[in-house]
Amino acid sequence: MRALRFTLAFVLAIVAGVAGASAVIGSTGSTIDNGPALLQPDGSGAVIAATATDPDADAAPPAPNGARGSRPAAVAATADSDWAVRVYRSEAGYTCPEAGREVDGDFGRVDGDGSFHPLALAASGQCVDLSKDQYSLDVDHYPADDQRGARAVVYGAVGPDVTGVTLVADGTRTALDIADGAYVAAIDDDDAASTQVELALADGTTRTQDLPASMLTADGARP
Amino acid sequence: MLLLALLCAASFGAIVRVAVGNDDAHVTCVEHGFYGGSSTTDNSFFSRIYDGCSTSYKRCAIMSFGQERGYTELLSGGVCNAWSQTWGNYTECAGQAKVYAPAAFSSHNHSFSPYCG
Repeated sequence: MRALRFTLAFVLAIVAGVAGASAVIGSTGSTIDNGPALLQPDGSGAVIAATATDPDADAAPPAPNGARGSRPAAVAATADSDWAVRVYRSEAGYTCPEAGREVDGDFGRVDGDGSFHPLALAASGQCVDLSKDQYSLDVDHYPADDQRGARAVVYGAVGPDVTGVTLVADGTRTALDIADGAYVAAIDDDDAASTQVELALADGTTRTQDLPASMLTADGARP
Repeated sequence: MLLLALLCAASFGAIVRVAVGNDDAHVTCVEHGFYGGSSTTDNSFFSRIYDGCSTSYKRCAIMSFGQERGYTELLSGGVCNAWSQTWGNYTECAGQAKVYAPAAFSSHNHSFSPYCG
């Protein structure tokens, strides 16, 4: 009888252990639609907070029919579309910026053929707790996939303690617009190593961050 | 003995649950790895490093067929969270997450877990 009770308790312990662990892991699992609260949009939507022109957006004058090079006008226009930072709030209350392109008010990705692909809101932001950190500084690196070179897109979210964001490249200072608590700028990927980001704080101090050299190779990717 | 059985079972349950989630993640000071999207065939996955361990620099790259397609750097606090759809339409089966956080771990890859025939 005692052995039977022990066996029963043993089996129950195994069942409880498996079920308990599965439940805990399941509730903190990390998938796009069921991402952790830290990253999952809270349902209040998102805003395209700030935009920035591509460094070469107006480099080549369009043909009389609006086309650029061998590209139809519509494709050239999409390829020249602004870079953008979209910001959403996560279920955990974090601020989550992400970089992309803005075409006619939509946020998405532009491929090398000039096609635009809207990106639905997902658990895809670089989420930061602005009650703990004063700002975030992110850089996305895009390989060259059209006649333009590779791009580095500098972006992030700022809290109320940040009063200004300035890009410093080879001595040239460019003040970035802060809109809806976010900023964005696009530069040639090759220029990343000679670029700094200065963040002015309300207490009069400045944080300066050197951007690391890009890891992309000349052909736009790493083996 | 009962406590040991409970712990072993909990470990087994956790491993099985993570495998079902199509993630390939672990903790080396801070959690990081390959995280699947909403399905195994939606061409959506993440290269991710969570915040912690004084990781003031983090790099998360999207790999496809052994080639890096693009990457995100985080030079501040927060979660490094590169989404494959940011750079293209890449299948999970040939996808990898390359992650690097010098304060916690060296550069290494995580891959899609399930078998892709």
